[in-house]
Order: sequence, then structure tokens, then C-alpha cells
Amino acid sequence: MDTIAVVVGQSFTLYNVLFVAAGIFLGYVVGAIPGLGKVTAAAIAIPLTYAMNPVSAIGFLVGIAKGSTAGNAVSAILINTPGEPSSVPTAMDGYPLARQGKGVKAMKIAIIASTIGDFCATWLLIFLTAPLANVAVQIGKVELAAILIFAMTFIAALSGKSLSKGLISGMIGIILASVGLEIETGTQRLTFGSLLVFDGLPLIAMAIGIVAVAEMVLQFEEQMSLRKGGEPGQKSLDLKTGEENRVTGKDLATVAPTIARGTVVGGGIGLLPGLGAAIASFASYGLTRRLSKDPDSFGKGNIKGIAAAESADNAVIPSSLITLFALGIPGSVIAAILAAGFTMHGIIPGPLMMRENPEFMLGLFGSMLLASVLMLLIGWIGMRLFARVITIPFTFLFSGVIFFSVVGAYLQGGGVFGVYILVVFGIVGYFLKRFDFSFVTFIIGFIIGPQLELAVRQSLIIVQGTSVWDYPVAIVFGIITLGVILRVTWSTVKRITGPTLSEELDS
Amino acid sequence: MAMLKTLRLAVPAALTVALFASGAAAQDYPDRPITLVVPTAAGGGVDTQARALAPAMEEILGQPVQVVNRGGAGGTVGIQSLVLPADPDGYTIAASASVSLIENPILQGLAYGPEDLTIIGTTGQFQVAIVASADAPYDTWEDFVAYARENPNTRWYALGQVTVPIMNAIAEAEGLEIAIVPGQGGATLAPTLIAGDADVSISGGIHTPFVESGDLVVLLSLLSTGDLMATPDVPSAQELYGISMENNLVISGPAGMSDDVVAALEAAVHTATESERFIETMDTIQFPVAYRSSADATQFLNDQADSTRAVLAE
Repeated sequence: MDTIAVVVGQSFTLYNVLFVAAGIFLGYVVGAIPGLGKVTAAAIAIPLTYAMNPVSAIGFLVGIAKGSTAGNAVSAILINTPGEPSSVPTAMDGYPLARQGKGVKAMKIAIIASTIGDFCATWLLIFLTAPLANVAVQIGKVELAAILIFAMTFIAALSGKSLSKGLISGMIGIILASVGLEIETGTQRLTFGSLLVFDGLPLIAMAIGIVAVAEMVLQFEEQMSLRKGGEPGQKSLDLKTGEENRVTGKDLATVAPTIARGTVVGGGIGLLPGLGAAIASFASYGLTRRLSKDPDSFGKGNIKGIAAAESADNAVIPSSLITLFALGIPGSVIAAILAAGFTMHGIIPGPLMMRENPEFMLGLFGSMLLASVLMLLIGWIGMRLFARVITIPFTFLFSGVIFFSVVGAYLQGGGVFGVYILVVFGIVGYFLKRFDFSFVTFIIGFIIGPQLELAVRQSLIIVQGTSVWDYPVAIVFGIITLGVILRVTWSTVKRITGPTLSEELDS
Repeated sequence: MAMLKTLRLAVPAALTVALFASGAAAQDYPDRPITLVVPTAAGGGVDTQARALAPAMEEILGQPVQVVNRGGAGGTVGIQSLVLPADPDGYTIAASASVSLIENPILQGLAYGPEDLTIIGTTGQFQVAIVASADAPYDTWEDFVAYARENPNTRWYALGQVTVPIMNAIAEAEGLEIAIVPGQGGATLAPTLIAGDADVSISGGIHTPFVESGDLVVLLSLLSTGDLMATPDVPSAQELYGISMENNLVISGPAGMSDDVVAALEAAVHTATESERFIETMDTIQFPVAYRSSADATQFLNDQADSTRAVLAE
């Protein structure tokens, strides 16, 4: 009873509810702006929390993180410009739905999936922090290497029509990710002597360029050709709110297992330090597609695709806080930024936090659950408002998206250099999309490549003098990976030799 | 017409200002906001300290002190792109770890050192030490050396290349054969040791809360003088082998700052390190406050740079 009284007293005060709601709203707006995401939002917001009390300050920051993760889905669905790599799979099915006039429905599914993923993962954080952190800590470099190789095989699952084109762009991603100082000896790789790339190419600036800028240029081109053809350059999108945009009980039943799976995938991946939201949402999407009876319907507007990506994406946030709360190890960039917020308010994240500040922790858990509920409310009500973005004339939309993309690249890519990267990868992204190379495998290659390299090199030193049977977790993941590879090879062989070949050539 | 009139008045005024600028600048310093460059991402130990220092300096100087984060390559990107080329007028200064001014530029083959900056002072000391998991079969340095003799190729986790020469030097002094596991990111230190992927590691100070919680143990201090704050009883590598790895938080600016400006900043930094808020923050992140004046810090860092160059040149 006392616990409940403390939670209520700390987190359900008007003051605290207002700040959490403000955080969610701010996060949702920033997330819904193409090119801007949670890292930008939280980094900007930290100084705003100086004057708040610790519970409200952290509630505000958590609200921003949760809200912007959910808000990212809006720009991904409506204008095909995800604010972060983790929303790329959302756009793959969300945008086709929006083009069919079902944008509102797609957004509803996204917000429901986000909320459920987030809510369940928050309970995981509250009750299982200590035991799960002990599991996460036992995942060593060898196990991590096996898990990363397993995640890599999803590239094949996501490569779209042409496996070879998918692999080519995945390899380009890996090569570009090797830019910078080599980890063991500090040798420069592909830096051309430039100090600015010693730490590699800035991921966020690159991802915004390749996804948002390239998409805007493609849409611009489409508008121009429409105009030339005598048609007025109107948006082909239409925001209907009628029958077909209602989320029915049948829809919910369809996506329920997907959301549950996404939550588990997101919760599990968030637990492992460094893996992050992008890998979780791609993995959840890939898994859902692979398990589906009708994998070809993905990428054409399947609500399961949205549910898979969004539930995993949002489940990562509370889950990546588990190692932070239990051990002081931030599981993601956003957790690291929150850790800075904690320290600023005199609380060291880590094993002593629960013991030394129990009231604060209970208040924080209360605020996090509150944030889940408020996220659904604000997202649902705000949807109509955000959805108006597609009624903006293309001229303004184009300049607005480019403007915010430049701002995002400047903030996250090391100043003006980030803007150059944005422009270069805007052009690269344009050609990738034009010639049907998967930019998704490109981004995944870029993210996983360097982590895999480091994990493998560490493992090679660590395993010296040990037996292979010392690593049962790694063996299990190795076997699953082999299974996935065999299945993909088998279905590819069948597709090439089978009767569908002529159909594919025709299309 | 009105504009012309204003211009006529403004030109002599501007001339007067220009003529007396050299004398007036130092007296009026600071008359506009100061940029404090932090060459790491927001959120680390260096950044937290800088953000505690900035408001205290602001109060003393009477002008806003704005923190600008420019991370990358162990601090060398921020120093090279924002501090070295800045005007030495006192409006661009930096708060960085001394490793970003000494070891990292040497290892990355960059042509700058503490001699190419104006050193305003130091404010804090990193608690550099060799640490191990509490589950390991040794909890003192002596026990570990004995263990490492019996089990050749103990795995030493190297966070950043800076620590590799130190590890090799210690191993050589004890005649140990070691295997170096490369690593990245201070946050990976504790999980790597706890998971048993490495036997020991050099920590820049982030181990302290883990020691308090009983997950890690400190085996050896790498400070050049004095004891570690939380574990004063562990032996020192300086005493045993004459090897140390000193890292301090340094406030610096571009070369060629005028004495008046340096004096104003030095006084502000000194008072700020004694402010309640700064001391409280340093206590939270468990760093000892270690103030040095401009002259002392310059001497200290230049000496450290000379000896480091000699060691790394071998």
C-alpha cells in the first residue's frame, strides 16, 4: 500500500503529469518532423530540465524519448520520410497504405503497436531489471558476435526482389562503415587524412540524406512529370476518415500476435547493450514477413508490417534502460543521454540507484507508465493535426522537409560536415532508389558491420585456449543462422528454377 | 539624411573604439558570451564537469558561458576544428581531458600538443587504475601477478589505444606474457570484465560506482602522485615500476591569449572550482577536484607531453 502511495504522490501530481505530457507532445512533434528524431529531441531538451524536480525532469526526458519514437511513424507513413533508421520498416508498408487513402488507419495501427510495445517493456523494466541485467551481462563478445551474424542474415530476408542487389548495397554499407580509425592499432581507413571522419561517417546525417532527402527528390520528380503531363501538380494522397480507415476488431486480432512478437524482439534486443532500435525494428519486420503465409503482401501496405516495426521500436526504449538502472551501463544512445540527465540531477544510474533513491525510482516508474498512457492519448488526438501535413502543398512540404533535414544533419553530424554528408548521401540514395537497390540493407550493413568486426576480432583473442563448448549461447545462434541461410538459399533456388521465373521477367 | 548623420557620428566613434581597443578589450573582458568547447559527446564525465563549471564561471564573469559539444576521435576533432583555429580573444575556450591534448594527438599523428594552446588551468583528476571483476580468483595486484605468471596470456582489455603502451610496459616490468583485447567505449568496461571476456582493464575512472556495488575490484593505481579517492590502499604503479597514466581535466584556449584575459579566466576557473554546485557534481560522478593555476598546469602538461613523447617514440 505504501508503495502505491509513494508512486501516486510522486508521479500523479498535476505538475508531474503536465511535464510528462509536455515531453510526449514535444517528442511527438519533433518525431513527426521528417529528419528529426529522438536523439536530437532529447539532447535539445536536457538543458530545459535544469529547473525541474528530478522526477519531473526525467519524466519529461523519458516522455520525449517515447513520444518521438512513436511520432517518427507519422512522417514515415504519410510522406515516406522516416526521422530515424528504426522507422524505415514502418515506411515500407505505411506509405503504400497512405497512398491507398488509408493513412489514418496506418497511423492508428502504429500508435496502438507503439503503446503496447512500450507499456509491456516498461513493466519488464520495473519487475525484471535485476535478473535480466544479470543475463545481459553474461552475453559476452563471443555470444554478441553470434547474435550479430544472426541479425545480418535478416539482410537477406529484407533485400526485396533481387537478392544480389540487396547484397551489393549491404556490402557498400559495410565498406562505408569501415571509414575511420581502425580499433586495434588506430590505423586510418579511407579517411583521406580528414580528421572529420576519424570516428566514421555520421550515421544520422547519412540516414536522413539517404532516406528523407532522396525521397523528396523522387517525389519532386514525380510532381514535375505530372505537371508536364497536363495534370495539375496535386498530391495524389487523400486523407479519408471513412469506413476504410476504421481499425476493426478483426484488424486488431490480425496484428495482435505481431505486436506481441515485436514487443518480445524489441525487449530482447534492447536488453543487449549497443544493438539498438534500428536492428530491433528491422529484425521484427523481417521475422514477421518470414513467418507470414503471404510474404509478398509486405511492402505493399500490410498493417502487420507497421505493427511489427513500431512495437519493437518502442519496446527498445524501456528495455535499453534495464542495464542502465541495474548496472549503470546505457544500452543505447538515448539511454546514455538519459544517464546524463540523471547525473545532472544528482543521481548516478547504476546498482546503487534503487537502494539510495527508492522514492525517486518509484516516482520514475510511475511517470514511465503514465507516459505510455499519455502517448496513446496524445497520439490519437493529435493524429488529425499531424495528418494535415499531407494537405500542405508540395512546394512547401519539399522545402520544409529539406530545411529540417539540414537542421537534423547539422545537429547530429558534427556541424557543417554533417550537411555535406546529407547532400552526398541524398544523391546516393536517389540513385539507389531509382535503380531499385535496397537502401534498407545498406543502412543495416552500415550499422551492424563495424559492431560485427569488433566483436569477431575480440572473440578471436578471447577464445584462445578455450573449448567451443564453453559458448552454448553462441552455438544455438550459429545453428539458427545456418537454418535461416539454408531456407533462404532453398527458396531462392526454387524461385530461380521454378515456373515463376518468366513471371518475374515480365514484371 | 538621418542615416548620413548617424554615419558621420558613428565613424569617429568607431575609430576611437578601434584605437583604444587593445587597452579596452582586456579591461572590459568579457563583454559578450563565451563559448566553452567540450570535445566529447554530451553526457560523459568531461561533459558533466564542464556543464557544472559553466554556470559557476558565468556568475563570476557576468557573461553567459555556452557549452558546445563537438565529439570525435578521442577529443582531437573538437580541439582541432574549434579551438586551435579560434581567435585568442578569450571568447573560445575548451574543457577537455588532457589525453585529448597529449596522448591522442601523438597516437593519431597530429601536429599539436599542449604547447600549442594557452593552458588556463586544471580542474579535476581522472581516477586511472587497473581493475578486475570481483568474481576473478584474485583481488590484489600481488595475487594477479602470481596468477598471470601461472596462466600466460591473461587478457587485458584496452579501451582506446592510449592504454596499450602502458599495459605493455607493466607486463614487461613484471615479465608477463599478455594478450590485448581491443575495445571501444567506456561503458563496455564493466560488462566485459563481469562477463569474463577479459581479466583486467585500465579504467579512466568510471569503475568507482562498480567498486562500491561490489562488482569490480581495484588492483593498481596509475596516478603519478597521491592515492585514489575511493580506494587509497591499493599499490601504485608509479612506486612499483615508475609507470603512470595521468589524465586531468584541462581548461585551455588558442595560443597567444593576452595575459589579462588569461588572468580573468584563471580567476573565474579557480573560484568556480570552489563553488558548491561544482563540488557537488564532482562528488556525484566521483572525481576529485584538482585545481592547478595557469602556470602550474602549463608546466605540468608540457612535462607530461615530453615524457609521453619519449615513451611512445620507443
